[in-house]
Amino acid sequence: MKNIIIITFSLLLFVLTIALMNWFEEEEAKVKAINVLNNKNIQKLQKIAQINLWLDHDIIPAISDDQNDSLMTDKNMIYFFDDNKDKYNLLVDKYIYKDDFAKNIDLSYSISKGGRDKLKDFIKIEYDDGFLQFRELKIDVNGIVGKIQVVQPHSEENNLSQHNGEDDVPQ
Amino acid sequence: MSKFCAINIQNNHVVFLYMEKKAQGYSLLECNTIDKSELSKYTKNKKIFFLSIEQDEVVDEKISIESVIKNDSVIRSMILRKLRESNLNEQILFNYYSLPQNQNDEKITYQIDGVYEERYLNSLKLIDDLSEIESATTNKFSLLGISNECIKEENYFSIHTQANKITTIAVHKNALIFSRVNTIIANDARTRETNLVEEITQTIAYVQQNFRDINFSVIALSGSLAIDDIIVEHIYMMSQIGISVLYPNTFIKGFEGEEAHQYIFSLGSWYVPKKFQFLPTSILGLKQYALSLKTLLVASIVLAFIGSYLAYDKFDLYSDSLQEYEIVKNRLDTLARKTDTYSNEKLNQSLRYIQMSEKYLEHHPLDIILAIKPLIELEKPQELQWNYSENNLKLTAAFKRPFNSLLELYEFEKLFFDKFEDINITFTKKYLVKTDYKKMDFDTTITIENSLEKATAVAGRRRR
Repeated sequence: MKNIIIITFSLLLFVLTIALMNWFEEEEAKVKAINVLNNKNIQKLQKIAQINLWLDHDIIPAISDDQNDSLMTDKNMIYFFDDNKDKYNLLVDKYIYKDDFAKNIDLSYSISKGGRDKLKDFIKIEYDDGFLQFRELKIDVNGIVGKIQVVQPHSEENNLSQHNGEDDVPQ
Repeated sequence: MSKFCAINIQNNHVVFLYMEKKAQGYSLLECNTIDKSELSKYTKNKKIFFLSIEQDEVVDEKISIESVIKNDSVIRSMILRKLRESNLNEQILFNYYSLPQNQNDEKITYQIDGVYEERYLNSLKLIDDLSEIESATTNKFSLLGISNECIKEENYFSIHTQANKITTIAVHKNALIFSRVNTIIANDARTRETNLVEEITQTIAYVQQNFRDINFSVIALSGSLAIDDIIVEHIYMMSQIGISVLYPNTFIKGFEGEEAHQYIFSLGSWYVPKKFQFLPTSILGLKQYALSLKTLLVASIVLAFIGSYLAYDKFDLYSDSLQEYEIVKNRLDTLARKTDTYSNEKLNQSLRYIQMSEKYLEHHPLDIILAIKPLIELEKPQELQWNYSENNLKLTAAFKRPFNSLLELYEFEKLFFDKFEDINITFTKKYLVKTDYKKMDFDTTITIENSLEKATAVAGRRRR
């Protein structure tokens, strides 16, 4: 009788331990899957931190707060024109117009013959609130002429000026 | 098998020996002559029993069977039929073995030894745990067992006397060929002595008569006979066969002098070969059940240990993975707290800015002008025009220079076009030669535009 009790108990213990083993195995697999996911999230966060560092260092400081202000964005372009028009004989080719995420103003410039130094300055010129895209540069015996496009980034929600083309450009 | 019990169950009493098997033989631990009712007290908590049971009535028959019949089941059924014919209707446990025969005999004579199962079982049931019975037989076979251990002759008699009972066996090549159990009746010692000698010598003569081909070399005596010199001398004189005494003391320790002769049947009980044992199938079944139970017990315990080990192993791995989970989770939480997340608005603003940077900073006149710097250093272009609109980029530069000698023109051209070829740029580059070789005026216009076609020479002569 004693042996039968021991046998029964041992077999029950065996069945229980096998069930327990399977349960531990399943739970371990679940935990491992969670760990893999968490490790991936850690990698993502590390990547985000790297990107944040780059944004904080290189991008966000370059984005002007004026972008949200429609009036300021227009004025910035106009200030640029006024500040440089005499030096580089700037003329408005196409007054303030909008495309995708930017406001633009197309200008033409001319530098007289012998003004190579002026050209050097002009070619290095920067528009602090946006971008300057050279469209045309012509150097010949008569001098240096060309076109540039002043690009002013702005926020979409704002009410933008919709002046269009040469008709509105004061010459 | 280290310790065991050798038990001789007589009609009125039981001889109980508790033995221990050692490397050099056996050792007596305990010996008692007890009443049957006391046996369970002595066998309590003990294992392994070798039994030798006195049976007043036994089956002792012979049967001759054709020598071609060898099958055990057939022989057994023929034996049973013979026993039924002899009006033996009780259940019998029997063994059979062949007796020596002449070469010319067509039949084999088998000796049948059996016990009446019911009466036999009654004796066996004195043992509480029947599954612990290792062997059970009758006294004459115990005598055979101990005699074979003591006497190394091929053919001999072994005679045991106890009170008035004489057990005589004849042994040929370790097998029993004859047995007889007699009880002598005598009122006095002298009559007893005479009857004893007569009985023994008659039995010896009978055996010799029936087994003429066998030359018995010794008569081994045991029991009360072994210590009686006078009877021994008479037996020798009558039989003319050498006399010996069973002396198991050489391999069974614990007895002094002839003390072992009181326990001959018990001492022989564990030397009985299987073919001379009588174990009912019920006991065999019990033994098998006990063995199966033991095997199952061991197997179940082993399985329990294996299961426990495997479960612990898995638990260990699970525990490790939980630890790793804690570490990784903490790291994740810390990183999540420390990492700034910008609003979608801010991110979109940054993305727009980056896209615009890519668009508006992609092309600048200085990029291509720097690429053709070697040519500019060689000769300043008369005209340079750079255009970028609708994703089309184009640079044209006109180089003009007069020369006085053809050699100078030639060398300049060579240098110029070498430098042109060396311009490392992904855009398409080409040139148009308008050199007036009569006036020795070098005139070439180069064009660089943003397509990936190979550089080609367009019109004009060019000398190298």
